[in-house]
Amino acid sequence: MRQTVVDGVPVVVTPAPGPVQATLYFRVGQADETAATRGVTHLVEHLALHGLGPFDHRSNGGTGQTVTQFETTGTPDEVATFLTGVCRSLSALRLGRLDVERRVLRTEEAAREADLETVSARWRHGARNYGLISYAEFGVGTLTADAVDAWATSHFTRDNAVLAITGELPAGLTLPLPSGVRRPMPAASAILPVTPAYFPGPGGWLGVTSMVDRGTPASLYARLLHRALMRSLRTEAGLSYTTAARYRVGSAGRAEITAHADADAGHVEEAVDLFVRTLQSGDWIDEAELARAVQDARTAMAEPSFAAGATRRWAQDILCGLPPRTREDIAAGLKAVSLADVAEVARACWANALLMLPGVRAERYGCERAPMSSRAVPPGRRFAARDGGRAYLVVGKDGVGLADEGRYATVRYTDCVLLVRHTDGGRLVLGADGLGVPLEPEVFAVDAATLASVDAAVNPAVIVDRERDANDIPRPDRARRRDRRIRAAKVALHRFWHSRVAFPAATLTVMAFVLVALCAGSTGSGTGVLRVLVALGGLLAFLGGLLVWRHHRYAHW
Amino acid sequence: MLPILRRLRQLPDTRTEALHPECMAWLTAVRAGDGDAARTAYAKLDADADPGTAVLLAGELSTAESVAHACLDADPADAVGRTLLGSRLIVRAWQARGGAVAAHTPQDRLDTFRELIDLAETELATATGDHPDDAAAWTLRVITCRALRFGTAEARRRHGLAVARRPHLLSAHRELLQQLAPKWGGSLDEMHAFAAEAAYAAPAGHSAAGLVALAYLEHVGHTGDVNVVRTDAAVGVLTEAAERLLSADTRTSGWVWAHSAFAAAFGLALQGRLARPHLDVLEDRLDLDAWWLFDHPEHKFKLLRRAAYRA
Repeated sequence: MRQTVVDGVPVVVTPAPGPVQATLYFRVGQADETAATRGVTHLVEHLALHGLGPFDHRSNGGTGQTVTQFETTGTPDEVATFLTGVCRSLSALRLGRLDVERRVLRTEEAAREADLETVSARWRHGARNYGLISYAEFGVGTLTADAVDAWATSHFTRDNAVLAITGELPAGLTLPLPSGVRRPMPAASAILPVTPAYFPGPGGWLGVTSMVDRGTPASLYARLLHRALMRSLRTEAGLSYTTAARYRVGSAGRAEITAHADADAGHVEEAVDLFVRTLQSGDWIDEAELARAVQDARTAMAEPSFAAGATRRWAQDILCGLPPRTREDIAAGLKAVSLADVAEVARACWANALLMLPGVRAERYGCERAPMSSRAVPPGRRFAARDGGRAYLVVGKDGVGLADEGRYATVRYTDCVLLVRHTDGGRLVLGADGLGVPLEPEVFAVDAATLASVDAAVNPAVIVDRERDANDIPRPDRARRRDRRIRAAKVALHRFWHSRVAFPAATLTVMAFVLVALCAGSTGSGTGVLRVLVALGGLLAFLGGLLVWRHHRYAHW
Repeated sequence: MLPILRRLRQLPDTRTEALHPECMAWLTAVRAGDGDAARTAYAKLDADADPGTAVLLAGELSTAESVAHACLDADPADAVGRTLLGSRLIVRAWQARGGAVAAHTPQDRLDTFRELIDLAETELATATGDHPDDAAAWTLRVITCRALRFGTAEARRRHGLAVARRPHLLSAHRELLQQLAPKWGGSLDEMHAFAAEAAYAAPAGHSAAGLVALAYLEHVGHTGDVNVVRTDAAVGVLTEAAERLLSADTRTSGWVWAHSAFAAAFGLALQGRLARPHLDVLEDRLDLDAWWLFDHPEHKFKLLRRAAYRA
């Protein structure tokens, strides 16, 4: 592996026979965006590739969390033509095609299936930096051509790029990129108060993501975990079909370990139990398993594709300011690793774990539920729900809030990262912690002037206008409203019966007894039966009163 | 009924004032609905006072919720307010559920119970997230753990976090013992083992000794057979633990409960003579929490006292 420079761009070259594989990386990705500009890097990537097609397995682009890449495979000439084309395209984006690409991206987004990392990110990071992959590409529809161009000019520069080549470096390669600065890695925000934690995921799937220190022990642990999950969940218990664990280099010397499994609807709890216990205790890790994982890693190093992968990894490490590792470093790491190192990774992995579980609670494993609500609503004017329920909106001078049955969502204007303004008048206000407040005039009795005051209170840069299908506009739940009214009427009737009918009637009866008793006593004309009846009635009234009183006094829970 | 009438009828004093005088300033502030005063009173609770008991007693007051919200409005991360809110939700949940076993409780009551307990768990999780060393919040989380059936391992973890900050915290011990009782998924052996361990880990004279008696009371409640406390072995274990409680003249928080528990256990064991020292300490006080096995506990207490001093 050697390093050179072409037109100011560092190039990592690993000589190898066969076609040339080249990947041009830029240090920009989704984690650099904001919720309101979400998708801008992807848009630039698409615009840059336009006209360089046809796109098949040989040439493509990709937008990651921290890195955007353009890759191709072919003869040295083909590779040089592609790379030079991409660079030219990036320096002068074909903005005339912006609207077409907006449509393409929307279609791509609609077809994309959410994976574990995408779903988990917002629970760990909120609606910022590394959490943004959980959110829709809100910026794609609204960003102006100038904004897209400015993003490209500031991020797709020769000082913010690295090229990885496996094979021969094409002679006469030019990379005509403007100058700029190397972008630092975005800092990771953290919103989980405690880990391990869990959040409710879609049915049939369970997963975990965790951050550990990057290195050989962590990558071996992922291999071991992969086999352990397969063994316990699939082979032995027969609860899952798909099980997998993997290791991925993250930011700032950290690596992400993810694992997932599917589970049959009837056996979700057993699957969760096995899955979590495998993560929780590292006692299944033994010397034989470790030796096998080391051997597997050595076998992978001997494969021809390893060189290309290592070259790409090296280039990305340079770009992201991480210490790159040579083949010798990796081999030495494999030799030095001990059982204790891997057990330590297993412990760290569990301590930082964020689980995704389908409708199963994980407190029994010492996990806390990831926060799903704010602590309180801000002070401000309240707007009742139109369905007559107890939920209400609050619009105050510091922020907006939603309260529903003791759960709250609050967004302070200073923490607002996105305000989606629908053309029908509804709004979604999203806070940095990922909690959103829907300001829906159809659902809450909130007026247009108040909504406009919210628009005015937030940073104009976070406002995104969106069209919405009429069917997507939330409506008050009419059935719920009817049920509430029926229930309220029943309660009123019950109260009326007790306070206006039953209790007065009982009181009058007792009084009548007393009166009759007095009369009977004073005139001395009462018969024996009447006296007994009166005494009995009085006694009953007294005992009833006593019972009520005792019940009231000793109503212990 | 007026206290004077109870005295004339020789019924014991079961009022909170008599049982937990150390908590009264705090409870009075909560009853008055004053958030600031409540926070000050909580901060001024004796170092010896049991914060779990204090917060649970306050949760029984209908003003607890407004006090909690007042505290939280002033500071959303307030430990007292959040814990008090959790306590109130727990009390409301059990009020909605009623005391019957699950099989004899209507479904809608169980649903309400679960919803309220779930809210309590959320509030208390926030409290422990903000203040990981808040023993009262962790104690209450042992209760929510039990109600949500998270299992004994998690209950032990939460109990451990409560007693890590406040060693020998009686309220946390009592809640864990409930969890370890067979009715909540534990076993008799586990329950007795924990009771003995907690009782003897605490210094001599500590109310935690009462856990041994509580374990036997739970045992009787579980089997429905009063003979389990009448065996020589059981009386021996109880006597030893009672001696530990009586061996030092210290009154740690919950002492009325501990002596009430021993009085109940020795009463059931027909050991009036052994119950006498506890009745001496109790004078005319009784903690009904320790006498839940009996119908008309106050009258039974009166009878026990008569029998004990006659013996």
